[in-house]
Amino acid sequence: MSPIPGPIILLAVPLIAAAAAYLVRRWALLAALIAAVSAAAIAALCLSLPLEQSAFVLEQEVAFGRPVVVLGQTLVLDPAGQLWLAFVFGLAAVYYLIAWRTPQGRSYFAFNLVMLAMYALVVLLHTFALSVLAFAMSATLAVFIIQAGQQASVRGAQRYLLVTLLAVPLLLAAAWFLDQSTLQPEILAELSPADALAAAGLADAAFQRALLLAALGFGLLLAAFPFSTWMPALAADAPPIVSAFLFTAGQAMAFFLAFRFVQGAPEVLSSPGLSVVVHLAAVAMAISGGVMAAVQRDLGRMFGYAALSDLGLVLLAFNTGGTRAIDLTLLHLVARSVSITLLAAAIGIVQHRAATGQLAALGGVARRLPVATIALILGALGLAGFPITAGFPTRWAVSRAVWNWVQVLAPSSMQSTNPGIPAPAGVEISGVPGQEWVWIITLLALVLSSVGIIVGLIRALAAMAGTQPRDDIARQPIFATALLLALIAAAVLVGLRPQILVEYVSSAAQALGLF
Amino acid sequence: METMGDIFTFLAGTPAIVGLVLTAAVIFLTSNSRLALSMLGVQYLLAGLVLTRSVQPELAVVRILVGVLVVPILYLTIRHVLPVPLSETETDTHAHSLSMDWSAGPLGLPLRVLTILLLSLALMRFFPDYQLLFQSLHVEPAVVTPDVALVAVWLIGVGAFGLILSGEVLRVAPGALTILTGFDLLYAHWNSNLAVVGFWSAFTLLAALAFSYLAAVQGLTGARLQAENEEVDR
Repeated sequence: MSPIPGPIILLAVPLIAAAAAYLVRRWALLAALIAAVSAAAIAALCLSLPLEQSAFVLEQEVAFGRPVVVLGQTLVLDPAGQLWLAFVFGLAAVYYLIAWRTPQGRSYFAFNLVMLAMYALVVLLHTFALSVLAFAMSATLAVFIIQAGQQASVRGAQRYLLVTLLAVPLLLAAAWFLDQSTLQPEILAELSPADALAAAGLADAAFQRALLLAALGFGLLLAAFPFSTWMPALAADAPPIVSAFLFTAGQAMAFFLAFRFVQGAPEVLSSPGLSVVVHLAAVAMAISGGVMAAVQRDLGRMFGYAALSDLGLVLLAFNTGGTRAIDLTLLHLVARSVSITLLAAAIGIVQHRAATGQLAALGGVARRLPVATIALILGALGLAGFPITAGFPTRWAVSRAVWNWVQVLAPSSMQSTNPGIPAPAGVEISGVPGQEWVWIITLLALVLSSVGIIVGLIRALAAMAGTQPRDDIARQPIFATALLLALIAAAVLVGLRPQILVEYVSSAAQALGLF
Repeated sequence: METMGDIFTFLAGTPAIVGLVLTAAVIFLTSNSRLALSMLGVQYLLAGLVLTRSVQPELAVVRILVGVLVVPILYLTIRHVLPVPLSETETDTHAHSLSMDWSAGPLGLPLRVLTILLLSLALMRFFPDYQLLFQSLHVEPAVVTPDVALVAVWLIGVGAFGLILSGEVLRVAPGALTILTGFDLLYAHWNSNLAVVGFWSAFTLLAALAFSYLAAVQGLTGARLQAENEEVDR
């Protein structure tokens, strides 16, 4: 019997599990178990199976790296995609377990599993346009779990749908312009020097257009400033675990698409304009998210703004990390997922038990739900980059990188022949004296981001404290408490020993091969 | 004597382009969701017709089929959430479902007419600049004809303004789908891969389903709030 190709498993298992979860959707435990087991199994397969040779799983031979041709399209798993899917499916498995005790809507498991199959398709397809469209289809499916049958505001779901819908044409056009910007040497050889020069000019113009369109498209998907409004709106309306899934796995897939786009044209990375735009967007996101998180009156919205502020840090990691930029970016993507999951689980429990996320109505909740409150504190502090939390190591690394830039670009250092200050690793110094102010503002943005989130957390805790009895709120279930404790342990572990993630992150960064 | 083919070729030319311009304008101007959806259906038909000039007829037919599916999806939703046409329940000044009242704010006709006029002027002014953008450097002769370039940008522009000026799902959905149609007119020239066409069609259908779901939720919420208000009044 011939071995089963990996792509078939990656697509079929979540789809079959989705059908099963839909059939048993009235029994949350069963649906959660089916979803969690299937997602965890795929995550484990992605982490353990080699791509170069076949292996035996449950006495069945599996060729994980073998390509499959479906309707003329070759589906194949590459090393970067393998790690990416391990992360996304593993995260989803945790969310399914949490969703069992904090209901996210009956269709959550089934729709989310179909979304995971779409994410697998994004990774398996090696045509950028098709990957973008597969991602867009997953985003339209997300609308159903964002709304989750609630007869409340549709703003969050509508905004998420619209940003995706607008991003798709931009990204497809960007890919086309990028294709136009590559001149075939054999065609160039046939042209006269004057025509070749003109063709090169046109190709350069096409490249600039591709860059602009891609920046807009990915800006929409990644909620980059000024397209950030969908994140808080989504967090306010959607069940917290759904928000968390889209802020972690969803945005990780958007990053994957961005890296895939850059793989097709590595010269994009050396474009100075792009670096400036990313930097400004990141600083604006960090500041605006932090400031807005400090003044919210709703836990969901505070969560959305805190996640937005932290997303600014991901972009800063990409912009400041030099040759280790991808490592730092990926490490922070993983670390922030831990914080976001913890925070979302805590908010989910609080909202489920108190039937609201409005701070004004949460008096006395902290005494009634102590573990959820501790998780809320650690999750928010993680997004703020507080020491011993999951967000601290990478935020510290980014802050150090920014500080290095400040020192290197200071006028005294620029004038000195031997300034004695190491430049950020692998980065050529091309700045001008006085440019250190950009980096000082960046440092201030990081501080503002952290302070804003912490102020928001203190306001939430002040609202949740109080001595009034809340007998109307049931105590949190044992399983949810155990899960929260496990997540708290994971957050502290990542905060104290981020090295445990470095091996996987480095493998993924190497597999992407951008630097 | 003209053959059917000649008539078809004629219809796929200027009449279809003019039709697309008009349908987009009506979708933008009207506050009647039923009229907007009817125009959206016509728009899909005309877009398919225009595409027969440059892509394989089968691919153009796929686009029309998508429209044939998208419009009923949204229309059925309207039937459930809006039992009575909006224009019959509102007391503002109306003319053929177009709200004439300035107080209607962004939904008011005067502002929308002004927007359409300004957009038309801008598109004509910058036409020489953008029509060359869409030509392939690798394919001769240029595949995107000037009239298609113009109408595609028109659809995208009108759809984008529709999104900006509208809040209700049932007004946003035709605007968003108009943007997709406009882009599709261009992209069909750039990439006629069958898999891409299939994925694009699936995406459009899913987007219509998502809009339909949100419209139903919004309609139910409105109905619930109305019932609650009536209860309070009593």
